[in-house]
Amino acid sequence: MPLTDAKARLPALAHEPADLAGDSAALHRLAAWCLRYSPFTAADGGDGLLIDATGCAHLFGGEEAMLIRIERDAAKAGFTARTGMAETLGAAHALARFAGERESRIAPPGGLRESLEGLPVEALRLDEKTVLLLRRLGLERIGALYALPRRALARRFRSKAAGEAVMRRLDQALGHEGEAVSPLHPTPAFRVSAGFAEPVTEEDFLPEIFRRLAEDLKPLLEREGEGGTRWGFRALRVDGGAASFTFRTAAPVRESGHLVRLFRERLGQPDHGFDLGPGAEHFLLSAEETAPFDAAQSAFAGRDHEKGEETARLAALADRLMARFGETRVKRQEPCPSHIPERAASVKGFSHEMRGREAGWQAARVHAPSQRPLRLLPRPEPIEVMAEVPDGPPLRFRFRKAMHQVARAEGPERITPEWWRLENGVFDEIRDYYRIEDVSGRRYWVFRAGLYEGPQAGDRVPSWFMHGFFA
Amino acid sequence: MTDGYAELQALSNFSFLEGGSHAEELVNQAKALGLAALGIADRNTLAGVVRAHVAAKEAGLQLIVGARLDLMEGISLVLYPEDRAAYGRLSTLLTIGKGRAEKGACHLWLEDVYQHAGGQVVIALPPPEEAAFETQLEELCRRLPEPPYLAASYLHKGDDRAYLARLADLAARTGAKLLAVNDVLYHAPARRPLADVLACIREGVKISEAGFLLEANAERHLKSPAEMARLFKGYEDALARTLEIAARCRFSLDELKYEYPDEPVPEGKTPQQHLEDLVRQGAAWRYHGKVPEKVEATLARELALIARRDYAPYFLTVHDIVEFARAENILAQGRGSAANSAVCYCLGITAVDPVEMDLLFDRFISEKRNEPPDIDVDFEHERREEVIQYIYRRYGRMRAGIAATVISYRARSAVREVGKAMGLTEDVTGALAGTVWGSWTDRMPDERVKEAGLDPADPYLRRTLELARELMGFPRHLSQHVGGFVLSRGPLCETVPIGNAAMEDRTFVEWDKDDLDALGLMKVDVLGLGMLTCIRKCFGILETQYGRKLTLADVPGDDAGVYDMICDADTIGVFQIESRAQMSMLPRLRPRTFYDLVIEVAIVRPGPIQGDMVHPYLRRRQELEDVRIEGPSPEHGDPDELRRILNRTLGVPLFQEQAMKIAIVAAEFTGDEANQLRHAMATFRRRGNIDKLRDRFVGRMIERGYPPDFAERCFNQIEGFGEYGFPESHAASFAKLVYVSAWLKHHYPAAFAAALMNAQPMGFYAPAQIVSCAKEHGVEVRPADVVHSDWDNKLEPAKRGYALRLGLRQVDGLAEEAGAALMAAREEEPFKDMRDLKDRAGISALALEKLAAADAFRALGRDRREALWEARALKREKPLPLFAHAGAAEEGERSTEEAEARAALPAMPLAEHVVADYQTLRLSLKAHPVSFLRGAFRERGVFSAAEAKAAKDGARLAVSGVVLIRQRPGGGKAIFVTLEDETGIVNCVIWASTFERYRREVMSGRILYVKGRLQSHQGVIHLVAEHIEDWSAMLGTLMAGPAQDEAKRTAPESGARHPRNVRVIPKSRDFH
Repeated sequence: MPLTDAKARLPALAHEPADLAGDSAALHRLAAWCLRYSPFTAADGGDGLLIDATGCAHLFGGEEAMLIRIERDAAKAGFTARTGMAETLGAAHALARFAGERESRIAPPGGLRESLEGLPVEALRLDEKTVLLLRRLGLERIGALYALPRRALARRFRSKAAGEAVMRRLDQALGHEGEAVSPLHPTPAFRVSAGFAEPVTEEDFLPEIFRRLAEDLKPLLEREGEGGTRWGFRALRVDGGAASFTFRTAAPVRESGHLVRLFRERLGQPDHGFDLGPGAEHFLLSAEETAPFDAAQSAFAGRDHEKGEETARLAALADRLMARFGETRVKRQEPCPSHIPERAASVKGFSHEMRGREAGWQAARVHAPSQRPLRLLPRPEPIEVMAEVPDGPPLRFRFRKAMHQVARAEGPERITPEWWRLENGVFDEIRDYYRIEDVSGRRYWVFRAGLYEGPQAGDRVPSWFMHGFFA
Repeated sequence: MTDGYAELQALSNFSFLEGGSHAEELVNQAKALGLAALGIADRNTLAGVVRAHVAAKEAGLQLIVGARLDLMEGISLVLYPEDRAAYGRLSTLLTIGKGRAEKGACHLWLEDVYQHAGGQVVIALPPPEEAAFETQLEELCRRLPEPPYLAASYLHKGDDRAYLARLADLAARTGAKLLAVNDVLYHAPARRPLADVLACIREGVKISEAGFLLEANAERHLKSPAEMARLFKGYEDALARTLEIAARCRFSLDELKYEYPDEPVPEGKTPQQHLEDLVRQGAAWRYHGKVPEKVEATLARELALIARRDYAPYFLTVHDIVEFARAENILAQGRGSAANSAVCYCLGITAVDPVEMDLLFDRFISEKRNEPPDIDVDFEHERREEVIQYIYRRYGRMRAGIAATVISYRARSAVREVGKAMGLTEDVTGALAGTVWGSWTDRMPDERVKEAGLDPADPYLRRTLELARELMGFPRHLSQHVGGFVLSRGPLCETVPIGNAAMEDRTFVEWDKDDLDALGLMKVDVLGLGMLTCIRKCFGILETQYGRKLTLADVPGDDAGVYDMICDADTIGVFQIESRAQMSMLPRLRPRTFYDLVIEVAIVRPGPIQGDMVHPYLRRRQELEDVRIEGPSPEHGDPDELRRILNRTLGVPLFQEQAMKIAIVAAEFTGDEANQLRHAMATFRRRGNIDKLRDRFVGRMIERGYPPDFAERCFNQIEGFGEYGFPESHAASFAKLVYVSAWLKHHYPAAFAAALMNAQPMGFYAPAQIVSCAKEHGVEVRPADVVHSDWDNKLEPAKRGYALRLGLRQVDGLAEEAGAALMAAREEEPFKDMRDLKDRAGISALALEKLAAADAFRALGRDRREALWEARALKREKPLPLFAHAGAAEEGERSTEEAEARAALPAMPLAEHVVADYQTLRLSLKAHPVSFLRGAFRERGVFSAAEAKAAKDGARLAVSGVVLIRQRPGGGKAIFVTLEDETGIVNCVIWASTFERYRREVMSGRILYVKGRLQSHQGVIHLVAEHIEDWSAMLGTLMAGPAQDEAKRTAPESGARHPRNVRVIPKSRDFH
């Protein structure tokens, strides 16, 4: 049901956006918390936990007592837990979720068939369509499946796979077929390491160590078609401490040469903070974030190829500048499709996706054929102007106390506010921009906010502003 | 300072999703600004010119008719024809371009323009990329009869002076003539937001991301001559040329003259002679050789008028079409004002004898009103296409075209699309659109916004709704009219462009009915009517099963039994009078004669209801009130002046022509004023002069001594007619079908029910109600079954008369081809089993499953569940002969396995069967779903529908049942909900205040519990709700299996849904 529908029915309904990643993380934390019951725990789907209780139950005073203990502990931690226990994962899953209040949620040894018999077929971890068909055939309970000839039942499904899924899930639950459980914590995929017999104490060795690790990492990235955009280099020291560098690259990178250059830039900084202390014997390099490598490359031939080269060189330059001055110091203007001059470009960090910028600038030029200054004043500054009413260009103007005589002018370029924005603020008036040149040849970009006459004239007296200078 | 200015480059909103103003707005603004003339040239179309023409005539402004052609070379030209011949060439040019392209597009090249350039003023529009333009302009100068004009506009882009200078240079180099225009997109700058939103809708982007798709400013509006003179200072000749063009292009759409086709006239006769011959023969047929004198006189009078106005070819053309239908055994009947004509009656076009009904010919054709006659003919909806193709064959594509229907933005679509453009999410716009029961005219009431779970104070939302309201009424696209044909003697494309329709083999002209009317072009309406299909199918069954051959003309009249049935409101399936509102009127109006039916048809309409005429009429009819005919005070004329007009309806105006007559007689409207009134009502227009007309109408009547209340109500009624006009003659034509269908239902309920279901979709009710009604009339109904059923519903001999056998067409989602294949295979040899059926009929596994799900294998010994079990295994095609033997062993092994398995399947409980029946057939013959809940209902003191019916007026009681109908007529004060249980239906009235409290229950419940007070008045029973509960969950708890979940699913909260399509129990998720 869409949220608005739900709200229409229950206006006081409290709601929050789902946080699937957060839920999953919390579930994994819970799985770790459950290590107190057993050395092996794992998250099960989006709402369950698996605990391998083999050989553990006696520590809690038996199976029943163990389940009660888990439920009680969970309640203290603020969770309502339902538990079930069986020899097979499938059966435990079913019992925990579907066993009724009065039914036993522990399958006794050898009693799987009987324990599952009365549970609904949904308990078998089947997809919705399969469950619907089974119920349509009157096969509501797992027990109803026992009596059916297996091949006959399998034939009722659209695909062989769907038919087999029913059988497999049933077999898994009954212990006729084994089932593997996935491990608890994933490890980062792109990581290489190198160990040394003697601790490394000299900083001078670091670039070479880094280079070798980068070369080891390259094939891993190549295999997956990825390039790294965030890098972590770590030294594990003999005294148990660690030193680390992390840095970003503007485009996905694999080549060790470029990385080493960046590493040297970093190391060249007086306060780089990479402290080897009494020496490090173990070094790790990982690509912590990656992106598809090919996507960043332009076409192969002709002008596009040259452009691609150019883009790559620019990215390399940016990486070095960032390594030297810090990531946040390097910016570039990005075109934004807006007629409002101060919104037509935004300043962004360099590591963003770079393609499409050229076309954006192109489009901006078509829609505003009149030239604009490269950089605008941070805020338009008021000026005093002598001009012909209603929309003549300035004849004379005073800016920062100095009077300027206008020699030449072009305009107006009329720009109306973006009416759909509710926060237009002070400058929510129509602007008429003029390019003007004073008698000493300096060129300015000024505008009048508001019109003197016509259907769009506002209530306020129009006023003039300086918005930028031409080089 | 200036000599004036004419704007020559303007788009109206017929350049879809681009132009931001109605043609009327452009015209009125141009007039107000003092422009010398206005040229509207929409992209590749003349679709908007008639509206502009009408508005310009009213405003007294010169309109220059033309079109903007976007050519395949990428260049755009505006063409304005100087005279009628040049207009014909422009129209032909567009027809050629449209003929080459799919619907809505137009493919034209420069070469085409050169061939049709004679007499056209050509304006070349400079493209944004100027580079290649110079060579194209040179070519135009060389190839056109005279050099083109070059449009120059000053749009405040910053470099405008330089731009004008460049264009002036270009003009000087090539020989083109610089022309000042303002490239108008909307009439006033305030429309810029809407124009931006239109651009977003067109490009499918959100406004916040549209960027350069939007204009930088709001300059593309109509500007005054002074403003244009200021902008084009130094280019005075470019301004002067606008007046030069205005002087040259004097063509007006008024010059389009109409000529009737002459096909239907045999050689050697004049049309009038031929018509008179046909009328003479027809009169002899209608009156069995003894034509009454009164009729003779009427015919003579009508024919004389037809001769004077030269309308004979028109009558012959319509007659020709109706004759074709008759020869093909397609039922046809004229409707509307044509039923006023004895000539039409004798020609067999209409079915009501106007003489007997006292209908007047001059309501149909008036000598004073210079309007051509307008005959609408209904045909069976299933076979209308045959008639349409006949017309194309007979007159050719170049001379026959279907009128367009302008599809306009309505509240729902406007909110949806504007909301999307404004970046609201789908669920917000969906919710907003969903709350629209009818349409809102001025602004969306806050309560509705709240109902949708949104905050009406939110300024962004407000803005969105305002824009949506502005968009309402904008044309969205052209579609073909359902059946309005324009026919002509010469090539039609010289009058109006013809384009391809989306449907194959269809072409339609660019103008709609109102446009054609406004220009006085002849059209014939070939309409489809579901009830005619039903009646013809019923006649068919009567002929094959009962050996009784009937036509519309010889169904016996004045049958008291039929009227008794109607008075009891036993009218499910009967034409027109089957709706809830009509049914509650019947026991009060108690129709006993044909004319009563005419009134019944007309009275439950917006006109009489808005005019509050219904209750006065009922009171007088029941003799609770004296018949009084209002009149002016004696000094203002004959106090009895309305007697002739209102006598037949007991002094209460009910029909549209009565209301118009009152305007003329009582409010002393001149013919011109009456026409204005008619116009203001007829089309969906900006209001405005309505209020003026109201003041005049009401004011004059009061002045002349009429009671103010009466005058007010009369005008309200006229406003109501605006939405849905209902003249007496039209009601009479419909009443004829009311009677015929009621007669069939009364005498042949089984055949009628079968025909009704075979003619679906039509009518008000779903098959479940049609079937249960037939059962109440004693008809035995048998289930759909692969052994017995045809595709259609049919009659089978039963112990008493005939039983109704449901057809396979009732099975949801089953294709007709599958049904036909099944019938053909069964014809050869009866089916042995399911495998045999599948192999021989060759139907898909899915079709087989659908049949199984619909429980159609009982006659082969398998119930629904067993059939499904078996069908699910029959997926593979027939084995190849070579492997047939090898497969036999496996087959044998399999069949024992199957038998075991089938035995192991638990039996399906009846309740689950019923739910599944509803899901697959939308009805069940086994039981009513509510019957399973009766025990639980009893415990809670719930009355059945039958018990409620027997209870006393004023009794407090509770009922519960499935929701059949939810209605909120006219967005009004009450909500009507019809509940059904196993004993019948109960109509509940929920007043708005109660509704607000129980909104959630009412809108989403499938089973409602309603407690309230019973209102029983003259056989009409309503339960006025006081307390409501949603009991849908009960359906789930009493059932097993999937039925449980499916029955529990809540109904989507949607507004008006046609009762015919309401699903009592939602479709299952696996069979569809």
